[in-house]
Amino acid sequence: MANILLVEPDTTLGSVYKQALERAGNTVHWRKTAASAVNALDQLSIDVLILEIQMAVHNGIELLYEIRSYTDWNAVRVVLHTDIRSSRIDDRARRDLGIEQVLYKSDTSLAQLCEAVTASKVI
Amino acid sequence: MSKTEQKDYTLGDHSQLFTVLAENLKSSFLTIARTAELASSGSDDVDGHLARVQAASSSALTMLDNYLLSLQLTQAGQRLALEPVSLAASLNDIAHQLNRTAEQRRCDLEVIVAGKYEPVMAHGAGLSAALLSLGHFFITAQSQQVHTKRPVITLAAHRTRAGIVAGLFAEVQGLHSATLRRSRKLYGRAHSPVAEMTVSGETGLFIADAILQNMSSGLRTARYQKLPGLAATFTSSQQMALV
Repeated sequence: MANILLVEPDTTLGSVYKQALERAGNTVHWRKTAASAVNALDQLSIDVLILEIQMAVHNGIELLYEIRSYTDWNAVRVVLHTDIRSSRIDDRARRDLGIEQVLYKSDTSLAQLCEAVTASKVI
Repeated sequence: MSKTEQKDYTLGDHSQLFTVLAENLKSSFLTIARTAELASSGSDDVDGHLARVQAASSSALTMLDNYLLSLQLTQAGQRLALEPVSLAASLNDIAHQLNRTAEQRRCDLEVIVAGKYEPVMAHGAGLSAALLSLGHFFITAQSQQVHTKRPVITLAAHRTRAGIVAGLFAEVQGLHSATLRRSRKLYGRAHSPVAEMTVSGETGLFIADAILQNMSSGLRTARYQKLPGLAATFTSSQQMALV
């Protein structure tokens, strides 16, 4: 069981992902923007961050740079769950930003998303 | 709005509009697919319907994804960056991805890679998208035809003097070189350009055709163990062969 911060801008999808992750026994805090995600990280103890890159105003990569600039949040495990194909995400960015997994939304079932969280906790 | 403010939707602008439309439709189909997955009730009857909704929306999502990738690959205006790709791994992966759609459309898939091959030179993501699109085309085409027994679609690779041929093969009516030639001519001009085989599932054929012409000999009709099919010829990776 993990304490998850889900950052997903789409209302319907966010609700579906939240319910699926909760059914798998996790506690899920869902935010729609980078700014609200930073506030949540500040107030909650988060194990895993599930993040969409494409967001309005500040994108997911900007949010990750912000997160990684604070030592307190360096232990947060990051799973990108995004509409951008993984081949388009730079290897260096993955390494520098401590991204553990990149899941392409179209190819990832709810069961696979829950498995990714479990795997992330084990790493 | 004055005339100068109006957007001129010529053909080029239309394809950009289709790109935006495809991205938006992807989001809708993704929502449908995942909601159907979440809604599983434990009742066989309801779950059967939900599985069909999930399979249909996932299939649409895949086609939109492959369409967008084909646009990206064909509009780059340059040769694709080719890399050594294992055909056996690709064909097995494609069969795995097509499995649920095939099951819903009541057909079987088999993978035959005769012999041991070195990797071929291809664009990995492009090859997967092309073969996956071709798979959807075959599955749709066979589902619209009458069969005496449950149809089987074979994903196969074999060596020829020209290189390594990979494609899909099946007892599908109307699959001839003339059909492929005519469908290319009718593309964009007829409602059902591959009417000899299917009246609604031709998109996969054209996506595969567009992608493969940039990384192989292009899509052609071929035969494998007397089965008609559509395939492309790839050159093997000399570098990997030396290892």
